[in-house]
Amino acid sequence: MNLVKSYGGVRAVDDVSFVVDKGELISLIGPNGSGKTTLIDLISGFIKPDSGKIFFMKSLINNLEPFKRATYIGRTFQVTKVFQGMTVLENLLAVVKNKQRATELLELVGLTELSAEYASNLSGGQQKLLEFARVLMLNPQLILMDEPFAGVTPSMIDRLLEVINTLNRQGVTFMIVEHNMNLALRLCRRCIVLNCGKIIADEPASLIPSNYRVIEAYLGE
Amino acid sequence: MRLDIKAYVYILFFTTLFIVPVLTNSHLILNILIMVFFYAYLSLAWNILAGFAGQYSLGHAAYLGIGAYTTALLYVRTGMIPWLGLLVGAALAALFALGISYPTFRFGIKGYYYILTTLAVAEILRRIFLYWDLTGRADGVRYPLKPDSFLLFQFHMDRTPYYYIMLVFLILILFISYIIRNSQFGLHLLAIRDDEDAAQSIRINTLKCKLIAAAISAALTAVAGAFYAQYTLFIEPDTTMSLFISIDILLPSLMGGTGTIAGPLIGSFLLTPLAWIFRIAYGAEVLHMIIRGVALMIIVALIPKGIAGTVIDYYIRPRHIKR
Repeated sequence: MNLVKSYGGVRAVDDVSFVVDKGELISLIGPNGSGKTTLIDLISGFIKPDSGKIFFMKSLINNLEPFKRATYIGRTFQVTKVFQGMTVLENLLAVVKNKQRATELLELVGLTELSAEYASNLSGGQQKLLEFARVLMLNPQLILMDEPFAGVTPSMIDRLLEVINTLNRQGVTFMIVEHNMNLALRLCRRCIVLNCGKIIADEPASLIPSNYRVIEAYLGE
Repeated sequence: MRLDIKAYVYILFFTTLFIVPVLTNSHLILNILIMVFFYAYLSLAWNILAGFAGQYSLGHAAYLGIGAYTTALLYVRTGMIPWLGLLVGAALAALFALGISYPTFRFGIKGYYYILTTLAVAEILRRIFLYWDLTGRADGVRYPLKPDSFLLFQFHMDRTPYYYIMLVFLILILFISYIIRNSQFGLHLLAIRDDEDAAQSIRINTLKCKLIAAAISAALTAVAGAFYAQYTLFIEPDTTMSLFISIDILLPSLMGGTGTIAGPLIGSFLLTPLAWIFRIAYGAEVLHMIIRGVALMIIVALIPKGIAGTVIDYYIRPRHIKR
């Protein structure tokens, strides 16, 4: 609620307030530098807000460190952060030592054959998939994904969309930062649009293409 | 139990080392091998914090000094047997490591800044020991000579007992490193090393893990300090706690492969005898220092991941898709 985060004189997030209900599938879109990643960092605890409050399940979590928030909130990063010096399987086992679950998740994202491979040997798209599988190891209630489809092959994107939809139907809440508006609108029911750190639209995805403020933010006046 | 080829190599290697004193009683060979084990051990202890957790320290000589001085002072002043002094020294070193690591890790000091912090702390401690009456100032601490005794950890006639003690210490730290590397805690340390933010995002309490790694690394280093005090029966700040000792501790690991278990062992077997041979042959400390410098340059320029790290990269890592 009323989140503000500034860097020097720039307000990266400017008085942003919104509520996410359990089981929602929300896309967070906006032009470059609109504050999407900063917002994800604020929610997951990697940066602290200058002011404003963040609640999760009615509890104030402003002072919770990121590793404590990770009990409920999983996230991926814009620049993929897999553990390069570990194998694909170890990347998942680092979360919980549950080999059966790790194997199932690798199967889910299509990385089974690469389980003994060092993560540093994977392509950018494969690393995105591995990072997603790692988040799923946490069994979080809310998953924040920062550009999860960048560098992923079209067939794998379809598979990822399917996995996200399946998990969402099972009650997992998603908030997805996506540059590709078509993809975002195809995936999500609700869309929050940021521009210059402010929310300029928060409405059903179907209404976004005809929203004049969104078009203006993307294409200019 | 099925053993892989690595386990057989280790068993063969250490069996050979166990029978060396049977084959030769040369003081020179035994002394050199003791120093090889000593630096391999120290480098493995350093490797737990630097290689596994990614927190490079240039102040491990401080922990070595704490172990050496605690054992020596407790024996000389209170008569406490060195084996107990060794445990007290390890505990003190762990506490000291927690004391300096908590504020540094808590406030996000990492990378070059952490290296400089550890260097500064070790240097301050060396200076304190140099001017403190309790630690014998620059004169250090000299042991009263006693008859050969395992309990008193003193052997004058023969170096063999020191050889076996250090060899057992080395095997123990290899075992500890193996256990850590293959545990959930070990995976957490590797995760922190690779990316601290990502580690936090998967519920890892990075501060706690780094503190535990620092405490274990310091305690194990102090054990070697206690051994060093008993081995030389004389300690003083410059030979126990100087920056050069800290560099000697990390060199085998850098050469052999930081973050690997075999790396520090390989590095020490290559570097320590070379340095000693030059020291003995030419009697000049400066040559020994040149070797350190040249070794460091070669490692950084040619094999930044060390010997074991390079072998793993090129021969062991699966390469289905490596371009």
